[in-house]
Amino acid sequence: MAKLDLHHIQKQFGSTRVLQDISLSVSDGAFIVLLGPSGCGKSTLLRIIAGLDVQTAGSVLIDGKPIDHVAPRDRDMAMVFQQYALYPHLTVRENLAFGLTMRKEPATVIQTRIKEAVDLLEIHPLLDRLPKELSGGQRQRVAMGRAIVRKPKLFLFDEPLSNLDARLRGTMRIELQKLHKRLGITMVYVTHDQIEAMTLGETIVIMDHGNILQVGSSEEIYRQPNTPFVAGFIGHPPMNLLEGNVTTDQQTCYFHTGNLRITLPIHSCPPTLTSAVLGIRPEDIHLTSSETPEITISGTVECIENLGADLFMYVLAQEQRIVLRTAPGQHKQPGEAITIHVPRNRLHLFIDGQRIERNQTP
Amino acid sequence: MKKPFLECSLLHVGIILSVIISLVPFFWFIITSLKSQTAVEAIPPTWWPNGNLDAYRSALLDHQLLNYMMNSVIVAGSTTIIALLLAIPAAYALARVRMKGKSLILGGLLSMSMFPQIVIAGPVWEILKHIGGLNTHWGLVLPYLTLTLPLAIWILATFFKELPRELEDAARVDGCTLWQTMSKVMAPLAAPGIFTAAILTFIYAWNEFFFALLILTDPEQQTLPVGIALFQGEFTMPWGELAAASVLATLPLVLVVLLFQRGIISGLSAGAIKG
Amino acid sequence: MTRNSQESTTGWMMTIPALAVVGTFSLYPALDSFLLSLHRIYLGLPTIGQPYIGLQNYTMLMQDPVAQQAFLVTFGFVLLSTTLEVLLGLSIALVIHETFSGRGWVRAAILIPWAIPTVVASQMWRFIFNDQYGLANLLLFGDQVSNYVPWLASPTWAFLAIVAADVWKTASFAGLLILAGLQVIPDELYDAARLDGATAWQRFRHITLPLIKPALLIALLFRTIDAFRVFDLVFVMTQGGPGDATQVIQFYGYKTLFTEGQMGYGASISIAVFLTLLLLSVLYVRTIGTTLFQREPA
Repeated sequence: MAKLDLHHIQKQFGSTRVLQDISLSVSDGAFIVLLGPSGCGKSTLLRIIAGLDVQTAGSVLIDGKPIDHVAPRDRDMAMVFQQYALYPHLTVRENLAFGLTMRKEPATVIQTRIKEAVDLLEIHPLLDRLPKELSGGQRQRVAMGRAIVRKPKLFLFDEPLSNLDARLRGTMRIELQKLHKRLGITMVYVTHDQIEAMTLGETIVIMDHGNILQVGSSEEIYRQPNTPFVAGFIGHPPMNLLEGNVTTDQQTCYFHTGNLRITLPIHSCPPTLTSAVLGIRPEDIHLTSSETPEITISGTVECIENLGADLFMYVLAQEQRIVLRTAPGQHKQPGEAITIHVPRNRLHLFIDGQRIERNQTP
Repeated sequence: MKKPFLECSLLHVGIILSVIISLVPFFWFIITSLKSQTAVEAIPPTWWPNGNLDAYRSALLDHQLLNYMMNSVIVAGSTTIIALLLAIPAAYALARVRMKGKSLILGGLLSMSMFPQIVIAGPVWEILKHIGGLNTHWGLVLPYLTLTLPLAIWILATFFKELPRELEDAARVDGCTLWQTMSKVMAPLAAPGIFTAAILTFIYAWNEFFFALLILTDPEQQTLPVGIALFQGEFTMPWGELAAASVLATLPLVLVVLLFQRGIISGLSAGAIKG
Repeated sequence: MTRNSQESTTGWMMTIPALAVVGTFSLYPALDSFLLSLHRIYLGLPTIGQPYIGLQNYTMLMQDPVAQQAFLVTFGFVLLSTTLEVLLGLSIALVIHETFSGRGWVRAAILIPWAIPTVVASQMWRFIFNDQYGLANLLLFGDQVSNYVPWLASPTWAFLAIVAADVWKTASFAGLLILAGLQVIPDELYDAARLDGATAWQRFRHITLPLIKPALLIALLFRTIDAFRVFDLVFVMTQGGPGDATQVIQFYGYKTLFTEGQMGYGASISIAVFLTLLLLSVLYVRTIGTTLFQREPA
């Protein structure tokens, strides 16, 4: 049980800065996911929390106390690795016991802890096998068990599901959630997979280029992305991001790119021509008009992808490609002219890389 | 796919020739060792041994072969054990721990293994004389350590470098100190490398002659190579006994090679190519 | 920060015992040899002390005909034996690289000369070249005893006998090093060449040979360094004779140091050997370095 704080963490490898200035607070018992593309610094941050790497500047605090000078072995954290890192020369039972033996726990304690973990993960038949005799999913469970028996203050996961096939990954996601509820231990989870992040994380931390871009629940991150990067990173198909300019004619605010001109629902507009990015989620685009104030764009259908449950339609409007997501059963053909409708309150506007709310002055 | 006839027969000729050339001198000594004294000294020599074991009896009893062997076992055995105890932590640190100047040290070790024995012989002899190491087994083990450590460290470092880093991280998160990470996780995983290094160190120490000749002048203390090099009879060269002694001295090594050729081959190439 | 240095402190503690041994019995003696080489020291004449004489030992070495002869013999030995060893090693490597039943046994058989103590091998070859009971005479002349050659009593034959023994003892080691180079060549290259219509010889000439060049050079380097230090063979087979025909430099150095007790002059010989070896290694490493570098863009 522990509260984790990161204060202005920086990390440099030679002359490359992998972490710029990371500050983050994780409350006791939280499940937090670090999400970002590969190379964004999320794994380095996790290794710094574990003490496996040492930060160039800044401080890691557990329950308010800095632990920067504490060796990994004394931090009382458990980690599940991408390749599982099971000791190949030890049996499953010995693997589970290893961390406790190192800490000189009495044999009876080790026995009970192993039993608890084995029951929880249902890996009883595997106890006397060697890691090489296990399937990928079984190794994953043992790796998890090795962390569980430790009853650590903090659980660290470094892309633990990335080596499993898609179906197994789905099952393990559910199990992980149950595990967290059951144990109530603070968990930090690193992944590049947005589905894992959205389903697992109570709090999601989006990182890119060594910076934290946004911290929030999956709902917040999806509904109100802070930056065009977050907007484009979350959601499938990705949000349409149109690059253009914002301008005003005294009364109304317009976004225009090429010949496309869209009236914006914001109260005050920048007085001069300002470059901006307009974001539209594919599922917010409708093929029929509705009651709400909306914008309409006309274009032609470029191509259609039918996925069974969903249908993605690519529309070319004034040299801009816009993808929309709708239910199947639309009998449109490529080349056909089309009008699309977007509720105004579903538009996302970014100026200088920052989100502009409707009642906000940019 | 079947190989063309010419290629195939060339290969077979090559195999047979390599094996014959490799083994003939050894077989000639085995044959000689099984001859009686008069058969050994027949001119022209006879092709076939007469199954006489006198040479072996004489080598063991009159020429103190057992004593030489005992000395060799002590010297080669303790060299191997001590060298590994020193080399394993050093190789692990040089392969895995963040330290400044470790590539310099690895390079330095490699170049030291190229020193000619003669360049260190004089001062080593002086040091040993000073600390009373002449004519003692430990006095021979000391230079043997210095001669075998570079190769042992190189082989082991190559092995350690190839082990997955995640295991090391896992061990450290699980509560291991650097020493425990090495002894409980990394060293067991490098067992094949340790084994190869042990065999090569043992063979080196078993076979070394230059320093053994220099340091051990007392026949009671001498190792096999010195015993065999200085082998003498009362009046003539006792070839039969010498052959018998040589066969006995070599048999342990032949066994080692037969059993472990795979490990030896990979170890030698690890020391050379990857180094 | 502190934890990093803590880790590196432990790292050094793991390394230092080994380094201390190597330092005391390799590095220090090598440096001490250099110092000794600047002094006049006779073990038999402790009364003269150990006067500093600058480079006099080295000027003496330059004018010492026996030393020159020893260097010459050593160079000849190195040149002949390493060439033969690498060529033979290449054939051995090509043979044991093939897959055939009983390959394990063949490999073990070929390794035996390498594993045998050099002293034992020397005695074997000394006996093979024995003037009366030797296998060499028996194979060549059968029972025509009058034709038997006293090989080791002839300067040329004695030299060649030592070369033969060395080649026999170490060609397999060279072969192993070359084998390691062969093993990293992907089989697809040979399949591609076959489809392109290359004959066995063309495949060897245009694929195998260029790709094992680094391994060949490494084998050459290792063998050169080792051949330069030849001692056991000479000690057992000829004691440097007949005359000085097989007196190699390490044997001469050994005699000067420990038989004659000229610790200063002997040290200068050993330093000269050391410098020659160093020069050779640098030359080789440079060639290897450049070939490796040239291979990189491919």
